[in-house]
Amino acid sequence: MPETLAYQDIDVGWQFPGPKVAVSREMIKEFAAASFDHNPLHWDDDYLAETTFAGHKKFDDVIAHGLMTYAIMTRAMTDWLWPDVGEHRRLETRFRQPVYPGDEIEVRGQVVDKRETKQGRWLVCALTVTNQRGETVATGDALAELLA
Amino acid sequence: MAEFEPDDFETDFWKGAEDRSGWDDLEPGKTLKSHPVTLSKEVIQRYARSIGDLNPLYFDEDYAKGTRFGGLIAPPSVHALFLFACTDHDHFMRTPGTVNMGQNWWLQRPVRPGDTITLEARCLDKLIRKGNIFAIHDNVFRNQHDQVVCSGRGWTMRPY
Repeated sequence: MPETLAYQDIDVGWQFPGPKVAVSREMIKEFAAASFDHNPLHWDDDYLAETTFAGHKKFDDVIAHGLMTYAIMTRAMTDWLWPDVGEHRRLETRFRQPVYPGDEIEVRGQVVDKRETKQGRWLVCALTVTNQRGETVATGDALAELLA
Repeated sequence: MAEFEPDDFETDFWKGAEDRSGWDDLEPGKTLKSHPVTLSKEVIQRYARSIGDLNPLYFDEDYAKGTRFGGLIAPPSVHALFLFACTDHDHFMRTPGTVNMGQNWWLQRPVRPGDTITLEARCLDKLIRKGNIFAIHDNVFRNQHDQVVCSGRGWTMRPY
């Protein structure tokens, strides 16, 4: 691979690693403070014990913010795109399973399509986030616009 | 415009909960109340640290100046912060039990320290599926030059 990746250097199927993050109550607390999202789902055990959703489903513990997972997923793109390879233009995520304190989540990416438009060179990337049990907790479609 | 004071932010989401629109009250398409926020470098850097993102583009001014960005920027997911910083205590996103199901954002240009960000926020649609109630919301974030920095939608499961 050349030092700075260009559109022509990357083929469909190219895989790239993303962050591996150990999620703790402390991290969730810090994200709540930094993002100003203090929803009790992220810190209040008593609230979770008495709160049910459809089908009498409950969460097992406080849950990490979906947007914390989103933010970690963006790192899987910016860590290799910035500053010289390209722009991280879009990320669409689906949060499939709760992320709990004690989970270790890992993001992996793969280029699944590449297209040139009139003014741009684009890579479509699939992101997958799994936990330590191998369960998929989130998936994402990301778009990178390459500079060269 | 005064900079956003994080210490003044009300962290108790139960306070004023009775003032918030429930799912039944949400009117799809109606623009919700919000206010512009000017972000300091410190608030952006605290956010970056909280997600373990120590990219020098957020922290090292000399390094950032030497890149095509020409100076410090914020992480692309910083808009998470504006959803709360730009809205008041009665905004529906603060309703306890709101679960984020998915999110899509188009990132047009980076946010920089000192930028004043305006949020145009709506509930765009609402639905019932498999016994749960959901809201679709769309958000457009603009900087002080009236340039769109980010736009996108979110999907939340709402408590009854």
